[in-house]
Amino acid sequence: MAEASSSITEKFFLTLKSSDGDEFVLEESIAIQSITIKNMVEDGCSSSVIPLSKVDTETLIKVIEYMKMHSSTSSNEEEIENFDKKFVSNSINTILNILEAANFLDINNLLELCAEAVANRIKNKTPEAVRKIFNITSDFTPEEEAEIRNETPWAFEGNLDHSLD
Amino acid sequence: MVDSKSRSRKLQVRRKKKSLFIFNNLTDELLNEVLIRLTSIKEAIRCKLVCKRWLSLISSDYFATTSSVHNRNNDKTTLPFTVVLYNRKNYVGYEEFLHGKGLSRRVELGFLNAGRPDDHLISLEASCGDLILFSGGSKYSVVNYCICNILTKQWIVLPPTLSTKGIFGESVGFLYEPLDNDDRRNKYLVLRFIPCDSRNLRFDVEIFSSDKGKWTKFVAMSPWILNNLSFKTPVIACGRMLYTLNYGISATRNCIVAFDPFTNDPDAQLLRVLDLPLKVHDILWSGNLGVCRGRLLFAQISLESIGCPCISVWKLEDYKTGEWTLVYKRVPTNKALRVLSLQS
Repeated sequence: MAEASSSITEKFFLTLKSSDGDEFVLEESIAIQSITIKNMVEDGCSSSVIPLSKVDTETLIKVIEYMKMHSSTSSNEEEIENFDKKFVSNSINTILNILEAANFLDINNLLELCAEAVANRIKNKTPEAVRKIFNITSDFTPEEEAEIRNETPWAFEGNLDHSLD
Repeated sequence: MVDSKSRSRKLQVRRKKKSLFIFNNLTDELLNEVLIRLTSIKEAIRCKLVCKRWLSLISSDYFATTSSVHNRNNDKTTLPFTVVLYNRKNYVGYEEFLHGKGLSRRVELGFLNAGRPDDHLISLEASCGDLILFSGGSKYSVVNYCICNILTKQWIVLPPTLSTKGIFGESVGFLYEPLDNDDRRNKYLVLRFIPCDSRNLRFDVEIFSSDKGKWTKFVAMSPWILNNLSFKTPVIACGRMLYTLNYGISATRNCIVAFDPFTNDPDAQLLRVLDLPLKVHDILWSGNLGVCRGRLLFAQISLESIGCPCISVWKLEDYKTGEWTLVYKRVPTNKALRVLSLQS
């Protein structure tokens, strides 16, 4: 009983501010999954608001959802697994934004999850489909493209996926 | 009216710009994090065609090394395909890719011959860590070795060896260690085992190490007749060790010879002999070494009863104790195999 109450009183909260100016209050124990934030806390910069100039509100909400689910106390393994599965089904743009945020905030698990998710979107796709998914314009001449194909023709064989899902 | 229309168009343009911006903004480091997680080499090669930035990233050493470290740390030891190498007439190599099902095509390795003299013979020696070791040179000259990545067609040539091909034959081993995170260099060793006398008790060992960048030579003695080294039997790389089978006539001890070339301990033995698994029959015609999931395997086909070959596979549990476990034993039901064994 005494232990439980002491752990409640020791809870600290941090305020994170997105690039759009929105503020989010989060338990310190959850927020320090981000090594960037952890370092700031250790350096004593946490008393005021922590500005995250590289993370917009939409992305920060997702990151906080992730950190809450993955904090050591709250969730069981099955819940986390289901959450992650659903998490990676976000749009590719959202995932890329979260990937950048995870890199900036230094949350390794989240970075790995997002990088894996983006790689999975590329799986078995034709180069043309990959370009469309990532909104990339090819800068190869037809000759250069033919040369790359001829180097390793076997890599371009088989049933490839033309869809953009 | 006009105003709102132009504003909505502006908004559209901005939205489009934003998504373009997001992708191009991804640093090479992060893009690399994505690309090293592609599930196969085939996948990665296909992505070279996306744009020049992806091409240069996927072709870079940085990609090659980080992806090999990533795969190793995640225990992705299975290859997406198998490469079968053929050596035809000693001068042209072919590679053949076997996918999960069926056979795919052949690629000529003639590019290795480009600009070389006619009498320059190329032969396949060994492979390790997705790299192939070739040897080349005219028949009686010193030997040139080169290490080739057949997927990227990149290759490097080692300095000429110190001595010519052994008159009693020779065997070659190749060990490759992907780089560690701390030490950003790949390490590799090429070892030539050259018997000096017809009894194969004394032999020269020539080692090329990527650390030293040159060949060194010393003489090794063996208490046993190691006739395998003159038969040019395959020297198998497994972990940080090389293994080869030793077998033959009555005076020869049937065993596995292990070499530990990475050892820094001057007292440690380069050469060690491991006994074969118990219950192994005469291995003269039917024994073979292989590697699976980083473990050394010994396989043998034996005749259990007339005309019925039995395939047994043992796994080396512990190098120090030389302990083996039987992991597979089966009499194949395939009729083709049965006929073959009857004939032999």
